[in-house]
Amino acid sequence: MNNWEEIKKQPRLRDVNRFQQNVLKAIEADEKNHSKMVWWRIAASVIVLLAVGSFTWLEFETYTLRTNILVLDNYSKKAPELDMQCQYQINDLIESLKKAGFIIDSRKNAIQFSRQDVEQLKDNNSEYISDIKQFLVVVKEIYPTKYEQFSAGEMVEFNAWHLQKDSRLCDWIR
Amino acid sequence: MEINQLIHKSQKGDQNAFGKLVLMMGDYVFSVVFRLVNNELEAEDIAQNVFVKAWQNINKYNEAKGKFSTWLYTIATRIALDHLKTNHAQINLPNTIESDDDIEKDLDLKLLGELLNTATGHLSPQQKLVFVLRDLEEMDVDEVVQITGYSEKKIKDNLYVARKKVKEVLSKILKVG
Repeated sequence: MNNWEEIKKQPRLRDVNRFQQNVLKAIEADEKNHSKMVWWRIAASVIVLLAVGSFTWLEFETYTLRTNILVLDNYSKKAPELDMQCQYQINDLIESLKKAGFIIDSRKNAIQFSRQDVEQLKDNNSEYISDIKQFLVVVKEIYPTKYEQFSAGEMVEFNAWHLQKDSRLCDWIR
Repeated sequence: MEINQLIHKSQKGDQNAFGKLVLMMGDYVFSVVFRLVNNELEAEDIAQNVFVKAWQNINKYNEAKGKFSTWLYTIATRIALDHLKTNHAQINLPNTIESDDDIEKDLDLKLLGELLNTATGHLSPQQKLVFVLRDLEEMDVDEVVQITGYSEKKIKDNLYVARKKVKEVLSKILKVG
């Protein structure tokens, strides 16, 4: 065999068995690393999803709140100014409704109740029952559709901000 | 066990079978990589990476598309070329290579090997790759096309320039010597 052939055959691994062991170890380490990476990716995806979800929810809530405020603002612009006495009376009424446990969402100021709730308060001889009866008279006269729902045993909902600005309530509360 | 059986077993996740493939192909992969990077330690590291990469992608190997060795060389040359591109300015002389022959013959061969490596160290990565595959590993043009993805013309052009440069460098060194 000439020198050229020898040179061409020259580069060989020093220890092919050790090389094999190193390759297998590297593969094992790589697979462990890969499975760790998979878990990290899952965790990162969950965090991103949660972040995006929270942001979307917050955006939606802000939108709802902003819409409510706009509606209220428009309503208050249209509604005539209420005198102080009337304002106090309406606030007292709403306060009684709150104390009776009818406010379901303090942020949106939503008052929600059903016939069953009122009957339960009657049974318990609640101190707020007279205020609630008065409110039901108002509802019957001013919001007949809601009163029909109430009579049918359905849940009815009012926005306390709207009630505070509705001058018609004053005539009936007095 | 036949190489195809080992490949099939490896594709099913049998690491022992893949280990046997490493034993069978280790020297060949190391040889090509060593010719390209001219450094034994780096070549061993790269060859190791080649087999890790091969294990990760073993299911992508399709017998019908070509030989396993060609597929393995493709991975090896890509990794080695990337290495060369990032370390192009560096021309390394090889570390000592073990040989069972007598010391005198061994020294002569080492010297010749080093001269060759010095000469190929002056080639561009593409020229070196083509020169190593064609002239040192004695692969046919089709196989080199498959491994490198270069056209036949590009291979011939690079080989022509590479041979010329190697010849020039070797004659300069030998004249000086």
